[in-house]
Amino acid sequence: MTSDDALDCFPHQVDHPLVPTSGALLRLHTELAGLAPFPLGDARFVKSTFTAAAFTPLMANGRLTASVQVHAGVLLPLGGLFGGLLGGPTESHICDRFFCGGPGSLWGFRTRGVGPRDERHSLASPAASAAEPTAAAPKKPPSISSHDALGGDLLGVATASLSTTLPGNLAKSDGHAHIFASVGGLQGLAAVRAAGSVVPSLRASVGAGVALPTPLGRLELNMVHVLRKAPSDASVGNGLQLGVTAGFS
Amino acid sequence: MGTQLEHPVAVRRMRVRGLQKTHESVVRQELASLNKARTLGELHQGCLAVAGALQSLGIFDSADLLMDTAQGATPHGAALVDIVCTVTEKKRLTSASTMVATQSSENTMEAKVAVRNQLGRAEIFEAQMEMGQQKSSSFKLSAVRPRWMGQDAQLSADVSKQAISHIKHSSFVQKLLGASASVRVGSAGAAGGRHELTYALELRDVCRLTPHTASWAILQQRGQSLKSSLSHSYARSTVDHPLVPTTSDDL
Repeated sequence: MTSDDALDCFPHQVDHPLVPTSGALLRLHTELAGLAPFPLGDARFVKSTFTAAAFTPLMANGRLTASVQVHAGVLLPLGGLFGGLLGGPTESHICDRFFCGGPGSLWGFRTRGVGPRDERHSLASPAASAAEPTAAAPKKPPSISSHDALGGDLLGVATASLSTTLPGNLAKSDGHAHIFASVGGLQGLAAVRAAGSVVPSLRASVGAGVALPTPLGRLELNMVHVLRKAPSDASVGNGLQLGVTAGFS
Repeated sequence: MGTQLEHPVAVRRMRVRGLQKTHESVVRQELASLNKARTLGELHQGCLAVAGALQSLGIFDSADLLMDTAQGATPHGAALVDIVCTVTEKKRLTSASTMVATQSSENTMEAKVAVRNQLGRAEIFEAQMEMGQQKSSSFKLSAVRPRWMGQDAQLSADVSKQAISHIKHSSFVQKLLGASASVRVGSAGAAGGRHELTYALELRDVCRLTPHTASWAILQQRGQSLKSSLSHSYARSTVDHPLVPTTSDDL
């Protein structure tokens, strides 16, 4: 059972919700679960997210725009604070955790492809494989990852980009071409405490592509290159990545 | 002109015309604010605000207010004014829409039916259904009162049943059965911004795990939990266009 109080504040002044060229955005969200005046539930945690973005035109005609975006979050189970004085679990629940990777999060990686993962059980048992090595054992569908994304308690993603309007008639579509560089990561609290730093878990990618605002959201097609990843990550590697996001990225 | 706008006035009578299905109190509660006007300028601004508020209910094709000078004056010398509010109700108050979207690598189809002003109180009843290509689905029934007591306050309540598929990335389906109620005051474009307070009660279930392939960490997370939450949000914006604004003067 869970209860939470959340405070959300998001002043912003961007000039376009999907392809902004000037302005700034700030979003803060704080959530308290299992504390008075709603002490119901078995989940007791403090969760905060922070999003900031700034867009500035580099040319007077607005054809070249620079932007920096930062998204960060922390999830602290209360059972792990003050020596367990507040009670509650010491580990977070998967429904409350952050996830990272994919369009709108960290380009170059697949959706939920970054952060703590646990290997799935094999579809074919060792006994069956030994008895009938060539039998028609059920094969793992290629679209299914070999690991389950577990989510994490500490999230951070920062992206810097340069964008320009598309030439000719394409400019009427509000589309932009851009290049970007991203760095970010997702970790569980226990892993960060053990490592003593979040730096070893950081991933990095660069890319270039086009972004078009559509009725469904922001459609992006990017050529991406992953500079740094963990062995368990699900990444695109070096290649094309297509995605639709609800907001700019 | 400036002298005329400062001319003291008082509202003597307000009449409402054109109502057929809508309860008169819906319009009266908006007109009540005009009684506070002390000058012709204030009354003029008030009439514009009332017309805008009535239009925002979404049940009128038009809403016009006429200020008519009445004979006589108050003991304090203020001129008496009659207000005539003429509205034209919309004939078609039921709408339906469908759309296809892609969420988290899953194609979904959404269908929505909305019925307005069925009870004559400017309320909106909405039914929404969403089906995903994988195991995701969503059913939601909601009731919304766009304005309350003549204030820019929206009341809403909903019940929903959802199944969100995380099979592809995390080997489970998250089922949600919930109800929520919220009150929203003001608008993002107004000076005070928009505040929203929501209470939600939600039963969450990590289920439909793929038993032969799900990892141990996911297997340990299966089961139900009840979420009881209170949330507050605030928004402020003065962009000149909601989708393609060209200027802004925000927070």
